[in-house]
Amino acid sequence: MSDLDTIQRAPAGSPGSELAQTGAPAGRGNPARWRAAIIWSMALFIWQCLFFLIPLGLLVAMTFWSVRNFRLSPDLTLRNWNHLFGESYFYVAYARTLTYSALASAIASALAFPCSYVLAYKVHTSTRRLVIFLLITPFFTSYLVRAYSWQIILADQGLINSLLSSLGIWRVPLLNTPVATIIGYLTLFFPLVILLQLVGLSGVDKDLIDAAHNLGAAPLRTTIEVVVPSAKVGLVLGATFAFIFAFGDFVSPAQLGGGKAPTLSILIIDTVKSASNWPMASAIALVMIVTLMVVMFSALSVAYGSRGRAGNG
Amino acid sequence: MTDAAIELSEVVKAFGNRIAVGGISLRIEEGDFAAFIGPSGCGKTTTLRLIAGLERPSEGDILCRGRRINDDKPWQRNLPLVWQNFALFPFLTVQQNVEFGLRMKGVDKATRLKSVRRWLERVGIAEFAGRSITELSGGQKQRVALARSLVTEPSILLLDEPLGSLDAHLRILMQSELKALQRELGITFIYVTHNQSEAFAMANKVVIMKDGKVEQIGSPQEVYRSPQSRFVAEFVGTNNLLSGKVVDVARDRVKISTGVGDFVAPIGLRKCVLGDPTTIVVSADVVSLSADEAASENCVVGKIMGEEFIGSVITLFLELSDGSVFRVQKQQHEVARLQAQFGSKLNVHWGPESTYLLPH
Amino acid sequence: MVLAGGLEMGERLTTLIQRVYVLFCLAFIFCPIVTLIVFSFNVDRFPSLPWKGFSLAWYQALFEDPTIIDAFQNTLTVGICVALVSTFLGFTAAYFDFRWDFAWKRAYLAIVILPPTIPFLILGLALLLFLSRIGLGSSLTGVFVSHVVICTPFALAIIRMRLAEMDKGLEEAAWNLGASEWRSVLVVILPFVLPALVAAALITMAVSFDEFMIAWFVSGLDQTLPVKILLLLQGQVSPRINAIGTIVFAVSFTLVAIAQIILLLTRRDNA
Repeated sequence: MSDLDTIQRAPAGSPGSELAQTGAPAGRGNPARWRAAIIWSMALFIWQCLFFLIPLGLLVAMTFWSVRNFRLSPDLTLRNWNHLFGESYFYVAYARTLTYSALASAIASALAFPCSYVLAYKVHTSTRRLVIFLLITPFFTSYLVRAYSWQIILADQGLINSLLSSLGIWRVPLLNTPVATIIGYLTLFFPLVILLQLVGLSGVDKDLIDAAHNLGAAPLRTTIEVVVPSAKVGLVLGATFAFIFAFGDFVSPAQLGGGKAPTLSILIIDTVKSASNWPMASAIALVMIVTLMVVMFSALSVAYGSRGRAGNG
Repeated sequence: MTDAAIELSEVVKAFGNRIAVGGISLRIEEGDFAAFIGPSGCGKTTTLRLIAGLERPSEGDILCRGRRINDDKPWQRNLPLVWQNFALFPFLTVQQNVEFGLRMKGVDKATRLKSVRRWLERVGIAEFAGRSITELSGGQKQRVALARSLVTEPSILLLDEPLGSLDAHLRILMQSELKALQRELGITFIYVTHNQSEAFAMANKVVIMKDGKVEQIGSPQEVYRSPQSRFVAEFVGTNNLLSGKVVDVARDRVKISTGVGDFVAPIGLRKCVLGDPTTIVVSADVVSLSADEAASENCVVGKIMGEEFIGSVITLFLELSDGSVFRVQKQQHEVARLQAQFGSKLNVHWGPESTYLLPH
Repeated sequence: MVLAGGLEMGERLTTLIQRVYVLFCLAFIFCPIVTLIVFSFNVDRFPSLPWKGFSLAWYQALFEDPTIIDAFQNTLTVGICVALVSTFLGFTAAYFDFRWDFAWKRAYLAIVILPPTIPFLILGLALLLFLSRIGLGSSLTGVFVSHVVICTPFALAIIRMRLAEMDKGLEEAAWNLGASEWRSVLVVILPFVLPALVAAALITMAVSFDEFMIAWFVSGLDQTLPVKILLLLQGQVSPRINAIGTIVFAVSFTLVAIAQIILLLTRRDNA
């Protein structure tokens, strides 16, 4: 029996008959459709609930547990929170993490912009594709290994300093400084920021740029007045992801920054390694999550905020 | 001779191997409403962009009031352009869009506000000043684009298919508004469109382009009634072209023999030699129809094979004896009077003065 | 002054500076990688100039260290399993997004693709706390499970982009001709997304291959390679790390490069 035989019949409940009426698979009514949709969607959803949402939920709960005689026990105490908020080292680390992340985000965005601008508007398609390829690929290779490599480049007897001393210039302490930490952060997300900005800039209507020129705006003015506002989403997303990645990173402040100026990530690792104080570690982690959610939410409102805000200006 | 508002001298623009504009020279005088028409890809938009400075000519000179502006950057020329898709800045309000050009010039806020208000009123959308662009309809956006271009008081305005995104009814309305605006302001309009009737309705000078070259420049009447080339005759209006040979030359008349009959045309100022190949152009709307033989020097017989309604005007497609198609445009009631049907034969005739000879 | 091509001297200079800047950015990004590779062949124990000599000793030391070999095997095993499961789960979700439009789809997608935006440090902690309570605490299985969580969003994105290039009418045509829903997935959808499935598998494997933070928390004694590297880093500087790093980089780079090439070659450009 060929498939052609079934064209006429198209039994009720099969996609064929529904299609004839609606022209596209609709999402309501027919229970058979619901069933199929559920089957397809739930596999991943169950996995993420089980191994993502629940662990995070446990983390939140754990901030209220207590450790007695090195044994973890479920509890409902605010002791961990009180302890955390009472310690000055927490606030110092928090401020430091915020500052480093904001700085890294700003530096990355500023340095990336000329690069993404050129890639968006000033090169051939084939060149752009090649550079995008070159940007994506290292991003997926081991960040740990690349950060280590910076260690040996920046070390006091490392590459840069040996070069400087062979030229007769004095050595510059680069490793174990905030500069090294920032370089490490850039290694983590600089390609991503360029790519996100590039996507934003590519989406700008070329006619708008021509219109700005036509109305008397020279190139620099056009970039500031027209290109940047039009590419707002890409630029903000780039800065936001840079911030988030820097905020949660452990390797750069520890390996490149020397670990002496602790960030929240170093705090968590220390708490876990030395004291195995899971509730405390969880509390710090929760503070980080909440901070990042606030940042993400604000960033998204800025990025997708209403355009051409009405006013009398 | 006084300086033209815009003059192009042997201007060529090539994009790699593709020649978009292949050497055009023309003058647009102050106060002209010049319309550029032609099939897509003919180079009319490129020409406009060259004038605006958004493209650089590969060869040739562009002069504005006698001064060569090839090296002027787009932001140094005061030749505002009105775009087909408006190119309004979506992140600015109507007012901020309109004042943009003034802001680039460094005009102070108070003066800017006054100018913007004046022009918004002039184009009829003063109440939308504080609104976001995204809230406006197509017609309203068009007016904003217009106001934005005029606020710097230019003496030449460039328009690239500005009414192309509007629906037909609005388009007709805007045509008369634009024409009135141009007359009132007394400035030069350089207008690109693919819509012939639009060009003829508004312009006093029509430039027909094809494959990067200018085919003909003239007033709408000239271009319509006196096409200078086969292309223009076929492109403008609805014309019938018959190819033939000169068989008789008299003092004021010449007789052409074609595959569907002999026709008489006034000789005019042309030099006609016996045996010359010539093309006759007969406009579809100057012929008369009858069901029986009529006394007229120029006549063809054709079989009705198709018709097309354009409102109250009908275009009849007649098949002639040699298989070619002859088009006739008549008012609907005239055609109805004939009571002709598909396949029936009709006589088409016209006076010699309606026969136009294409120059070589 | 106008030069050939109609560009002025000033414009030419600006363009040159701009291109050089892009090259600097790329140099910055690749500098640690190049250094790593170059100095993995350096005879000298500590990498510095001038270059002391070429040697494969460090690579040899790697192959003779059983802990490194074990770690590599662990990483490979986990990586392959993660690739297979993530690609499968990513496909189901991508197809769901492609075909249906429910009101709750937005919320669903948000939850499902959220993991990579949470710092892995925090995820690692949370997963350790949870997995140890269900007996997967210090195990490779735990690492596998965790990696699927963060890798699937990548697979989903890649496959979804490929599905977006497909004409929806193809599936409908198959139904119209009598193929059941499941049959048409097999016969129409799968062949079309095959390149994306391969690319997704390669990318998810690369992500899992390099992931160190979550693995550090969850892997326990059966370490993955990145965890081993992390531990080595806390010890002495040694070109051995360069050698491992070079190998790790070569593996990831190959995986990602092949994935990108597959996607580029099979892309349907509608522009």
